[in-house]
Amino acid sequence: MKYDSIRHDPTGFPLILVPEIGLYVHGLPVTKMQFEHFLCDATDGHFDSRWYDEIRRLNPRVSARRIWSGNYWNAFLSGILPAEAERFAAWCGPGYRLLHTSEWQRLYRTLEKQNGISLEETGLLAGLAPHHRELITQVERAVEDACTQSGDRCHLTERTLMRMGLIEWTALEGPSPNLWAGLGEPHPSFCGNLFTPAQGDFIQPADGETCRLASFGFRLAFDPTLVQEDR
Amino acid sequence: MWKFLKEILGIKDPLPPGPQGSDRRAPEPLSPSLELLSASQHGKTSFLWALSYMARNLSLFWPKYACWPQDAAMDASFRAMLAALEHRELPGETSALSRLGLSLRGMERWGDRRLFVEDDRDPVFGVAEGTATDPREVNWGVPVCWLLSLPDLGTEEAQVVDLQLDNLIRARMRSARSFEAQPLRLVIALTKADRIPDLPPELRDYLKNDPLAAVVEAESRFSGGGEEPDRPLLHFDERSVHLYLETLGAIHQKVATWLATTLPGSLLARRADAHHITLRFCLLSATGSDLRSNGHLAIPWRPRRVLDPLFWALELGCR
Repeated sequence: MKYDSIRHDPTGFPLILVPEIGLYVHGLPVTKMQFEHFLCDATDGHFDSRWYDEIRRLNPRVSARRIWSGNYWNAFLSGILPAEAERFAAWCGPGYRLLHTSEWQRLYRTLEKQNGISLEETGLLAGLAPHHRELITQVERAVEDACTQSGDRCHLTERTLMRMGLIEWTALEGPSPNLWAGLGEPHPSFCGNLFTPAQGDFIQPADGETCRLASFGFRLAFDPTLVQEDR
Repeated sequence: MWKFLKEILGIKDPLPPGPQGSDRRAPEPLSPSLELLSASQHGKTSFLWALSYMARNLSLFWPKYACWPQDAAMDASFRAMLAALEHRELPGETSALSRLGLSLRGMERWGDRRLFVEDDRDPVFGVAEGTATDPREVNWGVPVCWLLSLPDLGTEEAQVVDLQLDNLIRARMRSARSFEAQPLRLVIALTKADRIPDLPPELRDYLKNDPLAAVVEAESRFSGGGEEPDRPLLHFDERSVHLYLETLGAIHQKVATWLATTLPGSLLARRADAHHITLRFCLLSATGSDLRSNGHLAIPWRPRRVLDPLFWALELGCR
């Protein structure tokens, strides 16, 4: 797999083309920094300051310079409900959506095979604004440290936080009473867990569509087939 | 002669039949057959709930296995634990004494045993914490399982573990002169292991891949009315139990090696060695995750490796 195609969402954060699933995918889960762009634009009363206070109570904010292996998950937007994540996707524009569970799992398996590649080497950091670049590189460094401390591998699954990150909301496929399921294996200090996402370990919390859980976040995909882009 | 042989071989007299038996006898007076000790908030109640759940389901592996509570009070306690687990509840601070008293019959390798453990104000650590003012007598003649939650120890409290072991040894010396000649058989179970950040990957994988829990979960999904899942088969026969115990031994070694690289672990090992303690390590997660919402787990309980302390206790001579 060669990562040679990058695009950026409206907040300036990078998505990378993953040919194996035919989608551009956020290199990391959506950060608070990204979501704050949306909050500034949101015109209805739902995403008000009280809403964001509650989110930050569940998972406090951290500035890029203060990120380390014991708090890097604070940089990400979590505690969000699936419907709210969809609102963010809609704000990003046509073609943006949450990943399906099968796409997430295929992405995981694809990245798992990429040994020893840094995010820089994937091209993900090219052309980024300095503060975006700083945030991403600080997170990557923190994850490397966390992996070193536990003697764990640090492949692209970890660098992109599909492991050691959040539980990510994904859209369930097939007949199911639920629309959404979480996939991921957060850092044990963020949320104790023994999840095995690559083995179809879907996390379907009771009241997951109405009850905020501190470790649930999301990343978006951009599906080129859904839009006719101006050339 | 027979009595003597039975005692040294750990062979028990036949258990009274289950509640449905026609020749039911009055239960014998009970004393703990496995002593569970832990400081508060180190996962004792959760462990007991998860152990109840797994003990009830052992018939999935052992065709001749049966378990039942030993009296009406135990039955109520047992049902309450299972119901709480079913409703994804999480224990609060232990407020009332609860007991798990089960007759376990037909276990491969170990046969028939009684399991009796108490979830109380801890008779050793509770005294030091000031929560147990009139502690019960600990039965030091049976294996002792010390539940220890590393995530609940701050790194600055490295010596706490050593001090707690010292408390335990002193408590035994104070109350159990008759056992002084015997080495203390101590199983240290690292609880809440899903939250240990620097747990080596192979130990984390061991927790994730619990074959007994996989069978129980598959059965639970199946009996829940859903589609029949891939149902893992496990014949926990003599050979399988032997292999499981070999793995348990290897995990003990790995935990010991890993702990020896930490300050609390090295202090612990030194003291245990000085007191000639027969020490076994294992690790478990009673809930399987810490995904909480409003005082409940957001997903069902997923106990992992909670039978390991029981298996160690049986191996070390649980009666």
